Amino acid sequence: VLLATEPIEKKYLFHFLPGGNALSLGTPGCNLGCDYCINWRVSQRGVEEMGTPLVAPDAVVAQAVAAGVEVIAFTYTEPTIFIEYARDIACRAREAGLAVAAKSNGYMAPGVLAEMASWLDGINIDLKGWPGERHRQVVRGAATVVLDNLRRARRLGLWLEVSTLLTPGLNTDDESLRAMTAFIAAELGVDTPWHVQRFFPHYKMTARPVTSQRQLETAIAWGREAGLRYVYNKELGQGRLFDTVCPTCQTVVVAREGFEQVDNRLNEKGECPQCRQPVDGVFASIR
Amino acid sequence: MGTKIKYVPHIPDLMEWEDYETVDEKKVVRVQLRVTDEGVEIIGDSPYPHLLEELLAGIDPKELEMMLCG
Repeated sequence: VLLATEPIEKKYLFHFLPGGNALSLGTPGCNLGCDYCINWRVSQRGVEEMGTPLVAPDAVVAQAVAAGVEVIAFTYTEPTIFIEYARDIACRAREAGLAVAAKSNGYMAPGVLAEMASWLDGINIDLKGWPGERHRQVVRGAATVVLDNLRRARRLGLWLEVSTLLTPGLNTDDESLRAMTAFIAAELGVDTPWHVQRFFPHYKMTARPVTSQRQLETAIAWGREAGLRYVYNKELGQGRLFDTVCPTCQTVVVAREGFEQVDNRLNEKGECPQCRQPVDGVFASIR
Repeated sequence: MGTKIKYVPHIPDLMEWEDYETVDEKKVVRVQLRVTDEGVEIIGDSPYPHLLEELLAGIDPKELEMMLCG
Protein backbone atom coordinates (compact mmCIF):
# COMPACT_ATOMS: atom_id res chain seq x y z
CA VAL A 1 0.00 0.00 0.00
CA LEU A 2 1.12 3.57 -0.73
CA LEU A 3 0.42 6.00 2.10
CA ALA A 4 0.92 9.76 2.49
CA THR A 5 -0.56 12.66 4.41
CA GLU A 6 -1.64 15.41 2.02
CA PRO A 7 -4.17 18.27 1.74
CA ILE A 8 -7.65 16.97 0.93
CA GLU A 9 -7.63 19.41 -1.99
CA LYS A 10 -5.01 17.27 -3.71
CA LYS A 11 -7.79 14.71 -4.23
CA TYR A 12 -9.61 17.43 -6.20
CA LEU A 13 -12.17 17.74 -3.44
CA PHE A 14 -12.41 21.51 -2.86
CA HIS A 15 -15.78 21.59 -1.12
CA PHE A 16 -15.18 18.68 1.22
CA LEU A 17 -13.67 19.73 4.54
CA PRO A 18 -11.39 22.23 2.75
CA GLY A 19 -8.11 22.97 4.41
CA GLY A 20 -8.03 19.62 6.12
CA ASN A 21 -5.53 16.87 5.64
CA ALA A 22 -6.18 13.39 4.35
CA LEU A 23 -4.28 10.21 4.90
CA SER A 24 -4.12 9.11 1.28
CA LEU A 25 -3.90 5.50 0.37
CA GLY A 26 -3.74 3.41 -2.78
CA THR A 27 -2.56 0.04 -3.97
CA PRO A 28 -0.91 -0.91 -7.26
CA GLY A 29 -3.17 -1.75 -10.19
CA CYS A 30 -6.16 -0.29 -12.00
CA ASN A 31 -9.23 -1.46 -13.94
CA LEU A 32 -8.52 1.00 -16.78
CA GLY A 33 -5.41 1.53 -18.88
CA CYS A 34 -5.35 5.22 -19.80
CA ASP A 35 -2.57 6.07 -22.25
CA TYR A 36 -1.83 9.29 -20.36
CA CYS A 37 -1.88 7.96 -16.79
CA ILE A 38 0.53 10.03 -14.71
CA ASN A 39 0.61 7.29 -12.06
CA TRP A 40 1.25 4.53 -14.58
CA ARG A 41 4.23 3.12 -12.71
CA VAL A 42 1.82 2.22 -9.94
CA SER A 43 -1.52 1.85 -11.71
CA GLN A 44 -0.30 -0.48 -14.43
CA ARG A 45 1.56 -2.84 -12.14
CA GLY A 46 0.61 -5.46 -9.58
CA VAL A 47 1.18 -5.62 -5.83
CA GLU A 48 3.75 -8.41 -6.08
CA GLU A 49 5.68 -6.59 -8.78
CA MET A 50 5.77 -3.37 -6.75
CA GLY A 51 6.62 -5.03 -3.47
CA THR A 52 4.65 -2.43 -1.52
CA PRO A 53 4.19 -3.27 2.17
CA LEU A 54 0.84 -4.45 3.45
CA VAL A 55 -0.67 -2.37 6.25
CA ALA A 56 -3.60 -3.75 8.26
CA PRO A 57 -6.80 -1.64 8.32
CA ASP A 58 -6.47 -1.00 12.06
CA ALA A 59 -2.93 0.25 11.55
CA VAL A 60 -4.01 2.60 8.74
CA VAL A 61 -6.68 4.15 10.95
CA ALA A 62 -4.26 4.39 13.88
CA GLN A 63 -1.81 6.21 11.63
CA ALA A 64 -4.56 8.60 10.50
CA VAL A 65 -5.60 9.35 14.06
CA ALA A 66 -1.99 9.84 15.15
CA ALA A 67 -1.42 12.23 12.24
CA GLY A 68 -4.49 14.25 13.24
CA VAL A 69 -6.09 14.10 9.79
CA GLU A 70 -9.82 14.54 9.25
CA VAL A 71 -10.15 12.27 6.24
CA ILE A 72 -8.94 8.95 4.91
CA ALA A 73 -8.86 9.08 1.12
CA PHE A 74 -8.55 6.20 -1.31
CA THR A 75 -6.66 7.55 -4.29
CA TYR A 76 -3.63 7.28 -6.64
CA THR A 77 -5.19 4.25 -8.35
CA GLU A 78 -8.78 3.07 -8.70
CA PRO A 79 -10.19 2.27 -5.21
CA THR A 80 -12.64 -0.34 -6.49
CA ILE A 81 -9.76 -2.69 -7.23
CA PHE A 82 -9.11 -2.93 -3.49
CA ILE A 83 -12.69 -2.44 -2.37
CA GLU A 84 -12.67 -5.06 0.41
CA TYR A 85 -9.56 -3.49 1.94
CA ALA A 86 -11.03 -0.01 1.51
CA ARG A 87 -14.28 -1.05 3.16
CA ASP A 88 -12.46 -2.52 6.16
CA ILE A 89 -10.46 0.68 6.59
CA ALA A 90 -13.47 2.94 6.00
CA CYS A 91 -15.69 1.24 8.57
CA ARG A 92 -12.95 1.52 11.20
CA ALA A 93 -12.21 5.11 10.18
CA ARG A 94 -15.82 6.16 10.64
CA GLU A 95 -15.92 4.54 14.06
CA ALA A 96 -12.86 6.64 14.89
CA GLY A 97 -14.67 9.81 13.81
CA LEU A 98 -12.93 10.28 10.46
CA ALA A 99 -14.55 11.10 7.14
CA VAL A 100 -13.87 8.86 4.15
CA ALA A 101 -13.35 9.98 0.55
CA ALA A 102 -12.26 8.52 -2.76
CA LYS A 103 -10.78 9.64 -6.06
CA SER A 104 -12.24 7.30 -8.65
CA ASN A 105 -12.45 6.72 -12.38
CA GLY A 106 -16.14 5.88 -11.96
CA TYR A 107 -15.74 2.63 -13.86
CA MET A 108 -17.51 0.06 -11.73
CA ALA A 109 -20.65 -2.06 -11.60
CA PRO A 110 -23.73 -0.31 -10.15
CA GLY A 111 -23.79 -2.50 -7.05
CA VAL A 112 -20.17 -1.62 -6.27
CA LEU A 113 -20.88 2.10 -6.05
CA ALA A 114 -23.97 1.43 -3.94
CA GLU A 115 -21.84 -0.64 -1.59
CA MET A 116 -19.20 2.10 -1.44
CA ALA A 117 -21.83 4.70 -0.63
CA SER A 118 -22.59 2.89 2.60
CA TRP A 119 -19.13 3.81 3.95
CA LEU A 120 -18.03 6.74 1.82
CA ASP A 121 -18.76 10.44 2.43
CA GLY A 122 -17.30 12.14 -0.62
CA ILE A 123 -15.99 11.20 -4.04
CA ASN A 124 -14.30 12.83 -7.00
CA ILE A 125 -15.03 11.00 -10.24
CA ASP A 126 -13.15 11.56 -13.49
CA LEU A 127 -15.22 12.39 -16.52
CA LYS A 128 -12.46 11.63 -18.97
CA GLY A 129 -14.46 12.31 -22.10
CA TRP A 130 -17.72 11.80 -23.89
CA PRO A 131 -18.75 8.29 -25.04
CA GLY A 132 -17.24 7.18 -28.31
CA GLU A 133 -14.43 5.30 -29.93
CA ARG A 134 -11.78 7.89 -29.03
CA HIS A 135 -12.54 7.50 -25.36
CA ARG A 136 -12.46 3.72 -25.58
CA GLN A 137 -9.11 3.74 -27.38
CA VAL A 138 -7.35 6.08 -24.94
CA VAL A 139 -8.94 4.96 -21.69
CA ARG A 140 -9.87 1.35 -22.48
CA GLY A 141 -13.29 1.59 -20.95
CA ALA A 142 -16.73 2.84 -21.86
CA ALA A 143 -17.66 6.38 -20.83
CA THR A 144 -21.34 5.44 -20.61
CA VAL A 145 -20.52 3.43 -17.48
CA VAL A 146 -18.94 6.52 -15.94
CA LEU A 147 -21.90 8.73 -16.82
CA ASP A 148 -24.26 6.25 -15.16
CA ASN A 149 -22.11 6.18 -12.04
CA LEU A 150 -21.92 9.95 -11.87
CA ARG A 151 -25.72 10.04 -11.85
CA ARG A 152 -25.75 7.21 -9.33
CA ALA A 153 -23.27 8.92 -7.01
CA ARG A 154 -25.50 11.97 -6.94
CA ARG A 155 -28.62 9.87 -6.25
CA LEU A 156 -26.83 7.99 -3.48
CA GLY A 157 -26.19 11.27 -1.69
CA LEU A 158 -22.40 11.21 -1.86
CA TRP A 159 -20.67 14.57 -1.94
CA LEU A 160 -19.55 14.64 -5.58
CA GLU A 161 -16.95 16.60 -7.51
CA VAL A 162 -15.95 15.94 -11.13
CA SER A 163 -12.55 16.13 -12.82
CA THR A 164 -11.74 16.25 -16.50
CA LEU A 165 -8.21 15.96 -17.83
CA LEU A 166 -8.47 18.17 -20.87
CA THR A 167 -6.58 16.08 -23.41
CA PRO A 168 -6.00 17.38 -26.94
CA GLY A 169 -7.57 15.05 -29.47
CA LEU A 170 -9.75 13.36 -26.89
CA ASN A 171 -12.08 15.90 -25.32
CA THR A 172 -11.05 19.44 -26.28
CA ASP A 173 -13.48 19.82 -29.17
CA ASP A 174 -16.56 21.97 -28.68
CA GLU A 175 -18.93 19.04 -29.12
CA SER A 176 -17.34 17.08 -26.26
CA LEU A 177 -17.08 20.14 -24.01
CA ARG A 178 -20.66 21.14 -24.65
CA ALA A 179 -21.88 17.60 -23.95
CA MET A 180 -19.84 17.14 -20.76
CA THR A 181 -20.69 20.51 -19.23
CA ALA A 182 -24.37 20.21 -20.14
CA PHE A 183 -24.41 16.75 -18.57
CA ILE A 184 -22.86 17.98 -15.32
CA ALA A 185 -25.22 20.94 -15.11
CA ALA A 186 -28.41 19.10 -16.02
CA GLU A 187 -27.90 15.73 -14.39
CA LEU A 188 -25.53 16.38 -11.49
CA GLY A 189 -26.43 19.98 -10.72
CA VAL A 190 -24.84 23.37 -11.32
CA ASP A 191 -23.37 23.30 -7.81
CA THR A 192 -21.20 20.30 -8.69
CA PRO A 193 -17.58 21.49 -8.72
CA TRP A 194 -15.82 20.78 -12.02
CA HIS A 195 -12.03 20.57 -12.08
CA VAL A 196 -10.51 21.26 -15.48
CA GLN A 197 -7.07 19.73 -15.53
CA ARG A 198 -4.28 20.27 -17.99
CA PHE A 199 -2.79 17.39 -19.94
CA PHE A 200 0.97 17.08 -19.91
CA PRO A 201 2.65 14.56 -22.24
CA HIS A 202 3.19 11.34 -20.34
CA TYR A 203 3.35 7.55 -20.43
CA LYS A 204 2.16 6.45 -23.90
CA MET A 205 1.19 9.95 -25.00
CA THR A 206 4.50 11.80 -24.98
CA ALA A 207 3.98 12.97 -28.58
CA ARG A 208 0.66 14.64 -27.80
CA PRO A 209 0.81 18.44 -27.25
CA VAL A 210 0.16 20.06 -23.89
CA THR A 211 -3.36 21.44 -23.47
CA SER A 212 -3.10 25.01 -24.71
CA GLN A 213 -4.13 28.10 -22.77
CA ARG A 214 -6.89 28.62 -25.31
CA GLN A 215 -8.24 25.09 -24.85
CA LEU A 216 -8.32 25.59 -21.09
CA GLU A 217 -10.09 28.93 -21.49
CA THR A 218 -12.58 27.40 -23.90
CA ALA A 219 -13.40 24.55 -21.53
CA ILE A 220 -13.90 26.95 -18.63
CA ALA A 221 -16.13 29.11 -20.81
CA TRP A 222 -18.24 26.08 -21.71
CA GLY A 223 -18.56 25.24 -18.03
CA ARG A 224 -19.73 28.74 -17.20
CA GLU A 225 -22.04 28.81 -20.22
CA ALA A 226 -23.66 25.63 -18.89
CA GLY A 227 -24.24 27.41 -15.59
CA LEU A 228 -21.65 25.57 -13.50
CA ARG A 229 -20.99 27.67 -10.43
CA TYR A 230 -17.63 26.22 -9.42
CA VAL A 231 -15.12 25.65 -12.20
CA TYR A 232 -11.52 25.16 -11.09
CA ASN A 233 -8.18 25.18 -12.86
CA LYS A 234 -4.66 25.32 -11.49
CA GLU A 235 -2.74 27.10 -14.23
CA LEU A 236 -4.89 29.96 -15.45
CA GLY A 237 -5.22 33.32 -13.72
CA GLN A 238 -1.99 32.85 -11.73
CA GLY A 239 -3.70 30.32 -9.48
CA ARG A 240 -6.80 32.38 -8.70
CA LEU A 241 -9.04 29.82 -10.42
CA PHE A 242 -8.18 27.52 -7.54
CA ASP A 243 -10.06 29.83 -5.16
CA THR A 244 -13.69 29.17 -4.26
CA VAL A 245 -15.75 32.20 -5.16
CA CYS A 246 -19.27 32.98 -3.96
CA PRO A 247 -21.51 32.47 -7.01
CA THR A 248 -23.74 35.38 -5.99
CA CYS A 249 -21.45 38.25 -4.93
CA GLN A 250 -18.09 36.93 -6.24
CA THR A 251 -16.38 37.21 -2.86
CA VAL A 252 -13.44 34.84 -2.50
CA VAL A 253 -14.65 32.55 0.27
CA VAL A 254 -11.80 30.02 0.22
CA ALA A 255 -8.38 31.16 -1.00
CA ARG A 256 -5.71 28.67 -1.98
CA GLU A 257 -2.06 28.67 -2.93
CA GLY A 258 -1.79 25.52 -4.95
CA PHE A 259 -3.47 22.80 -2.93
CA GLU A 260 -2.94 24.63 0.36
CA GLN A 261 -5.79 26.63 1.82
CA VAL A 262 -4.60 30.07 2.95
CA ASP A 263 -7.93 31.62 3.95
CA ASN A 264 -11.43 30.31 4.63
CA ARG A 265 -14.07 32.97 5.14
CA LEU A 266 -17.13 30.71 5.07
CA ASN A 267 -19.20 30.89 8.23
CA GLU A 268 -20.06 27.83 10.28
CA LYS A 269 -23.06 27.14 8.03
CA GLY A 270 -20.90 27.17 4.91
CA GLU A 271 -22.26 30.56 3.80
CA CYS A 272 -20.57 33.53 2.15
CA PRO A 273 -19.73 36.11 4.84
CA GLN A 274 -20.86 38.98 2.58
CA CYS A 275 -24.19 37.88 1.16
CA ARG A 276 -25.03 34.68 3.11
CA GLN A 277 -25.24 32.66 -0.07
CA PRO A 278 -24.84 29.00 0.94
CA VAL A 279 -21.91 27.33 -0.81
CA ASP A 280 -22.62 23.69 -1.57
CA GLY A 281 -20.29 21.24 0.10
CA VAL A 282 -19.28 19.59 3.33
CA PHE A 283 -17.73 22.27 5.48
CA ALA A 284 -18.30 21.09 9.02
CA SER A 285 -17.00 17.98 10.70
CA ILE A 286 -19.03 15.00 9.55
CA ARG A 287 -19.14 12.99 12.76
CA MET B 1 22.85 0.05 -11.29
CA GLY B 2 19.08 0.03 -10.78
CA THR B 3 17.38 3.18 -9.60
CA LYS B 4 14.92 2.73 -6.76
CA ILE B 5 11.77 4.84 -7.07
CA LYS B 6 10.38 6.20 -3.82
CA TYR B 7 7.02 7.97 -3.62
CA VAL B 8 6.90 11.02 -1.38
CA PRO B 9 4.02 13.38 -0.45
CA HIS B 10 5.80 16.58 -1.38
CA ILE B 11 8.49 17.86 -3.73
CA PRO B 12 9.09 21.61 -4.07
CA ASP B 13 7.34 23.22 -7.02
CA LEU B 14 9.91 24.91 -9.26
CA MET B 15 7.58 25.98 -12.04
CA GLU B 16 6.66 29.65 -12.33
CA TRP B 17 3.44 31.15 -13.68
CA GLU B 18 5.15 32.30 -16.84
CA ASP B 19 6.20 28.70 -17.48
CA TYR B 20 2.56 27.64 -17.53
CA GLU B 21 1.66 30.51 -19.84
CA THR B 22 4.19 29.42 -22.45
CA VAL B 23 4.11 25.70 -21.81
CA ASP B 24 2.71 24.86 -25.22
CA GLU B 25 5.53 26.78 -26.90
CA LYS B 26 8.57 25.98 -24.74
CA LYS B 27 9.65 22.70 -23.18
CA VAL B 28 10.89 23.95 -19.85
CA VAL B 29 12.72 21.71 -17.41
CA ARG B 30 13.72 23.37 -14.14
CA VAL B 31 16.43 21.86 -11.99
CA GLN B 32 17.76 22.88 -8.58
CA LEU B 33 21.01 21.48 -7.19
CA ARG B 34 21.79 21.40 -3.49
CA VAL B 35 24.79 20.06 -1.64
CA THR B 36 23.76 18.03 1.39
CA ASP B 37 25.63 15.91 3.93
CA GLU B 38 24.83 12.88 1.79
CA GLY B 39 25.96 14.32 -1.52
CA VAL B 40 24.25 16.34 -4.21
CA GLU B 41 20.46 16.56 -4.20
CA ILE B 42 18.82 17.32 -7.52
CA ILE B 43 15.24 18.58 -7.59
CA GLY B 44 13.52 18.74 -10.94
CA ASP B 45 10.16 19.99 -12.19
CA SER B 46 8.68 20.09 -15.66
CA PRO B 47 5.37 20.01 -17.49
CA TYR B 48 7.13 17.44 -19.66
CA PRO B 49 7.83 14.79 -17.03
CA HIS B 50 9.24 12.28 -19.50
CA LEU B 51 12.00 14.76 -20.45
CA LEU B 52 12.86 15.34 -16.81
CA GLU B 53 12.86 11.61 -16.15
CA GLU B 54 15.19 11.01 -19.10
CA LEU B 55 17.52 13.68 -17.78
CA LEU B 56 17.59 12.26 -14.28
CA ALA B 57 17.89 8.66 -15.48
CA GLY B 58 21.08 9.69 -17.30
CA ILE B 59 22.64 10.44 -13.93
CA ASP B 60 21.79 6.91 -12.80
CA PRO B 61 20.81 7.87 -9.23
CA LYS B 62 20.51 5.35 -6.41
CA GLU B 63 17.08 6.67 -5.60
CA LEU B 64 14.54 8.78 -7.43
CA GLU B 65 11.75 10.43 -5.45
CA MET B 66 8.46 11.11 -7.19
CA MET B 67 5.03 12.37 -6.25
CA LEU B 68 1.83 10.55 -7.18
CA CYS B 69 -1.09 12.40 -8.70
CA GLY B 70 -4.40 12.42 -6.82
